[in-house]
Amino acid sequence: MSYRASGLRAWVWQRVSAVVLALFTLLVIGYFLSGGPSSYQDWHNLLAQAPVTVMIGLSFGALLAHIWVGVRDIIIDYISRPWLRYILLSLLALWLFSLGLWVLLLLARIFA
Amino acid sequence: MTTLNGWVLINIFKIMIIKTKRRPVNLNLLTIRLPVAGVTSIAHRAAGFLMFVLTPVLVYWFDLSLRGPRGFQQAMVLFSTWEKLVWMAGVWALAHHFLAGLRYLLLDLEIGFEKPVYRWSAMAVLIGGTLVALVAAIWVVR
Repeated sequence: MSYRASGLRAWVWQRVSAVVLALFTLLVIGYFLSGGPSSYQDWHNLLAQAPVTVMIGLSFGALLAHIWVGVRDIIIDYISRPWLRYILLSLLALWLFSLGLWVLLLLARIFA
Repeated sequence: MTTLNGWVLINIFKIMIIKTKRRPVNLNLLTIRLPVAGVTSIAHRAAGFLMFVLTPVLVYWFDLSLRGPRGFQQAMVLFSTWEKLVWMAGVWALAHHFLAGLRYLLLDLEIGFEKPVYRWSAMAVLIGGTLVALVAAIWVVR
């Protein structure tokens, strides 16, 4: 069985993205618990730093990958009709792609 | 076949049917007891799906916070009455999903597979997620 078909690739993606998301979540919670942004300028300045922007972009990418594997599993587990499964999986892909584009545009706007 | 007459055959079939009917089939969800690790597992999935549904809210909040000083102010004050409930559900989902996920990562490393640990860690995840949600609730109400 191929690496892809065995589900091992999805398994690895789920774990790697999980670790990225766990670390990012702790960082964000820590930041907000220690006061968070005091003003819009403060917030904007923080996000306009290249490492922060890249980190948010990568973490959101990890989130989308994590959602893809997780919700795909749910669809495969509970939807047995192939045509319905494909429709839902396509909608999910389209939805996640849109969310990714939205965040990408937001991050681009910070520098504009 | 002369010794096995119709009457005997019919009785053999009757016994077979009765035995088939007596098989212990139980699909009543109210009487099936799910082990605690099973509860943690299905809650992990439910919490993940809930957060999937809430993802656009998160991105919208991020969008709002970047729409200049006014949007930022609105984003920082996000607790009206019904939004509080959504927020609480989100906190529980995140806490539970985080802790259960951590448990699964440890299990991947073959840590915690022994029966007592496997069970109490599942219970700890359930209690931990609820505790975090309660602390967050108190913090919001305060």
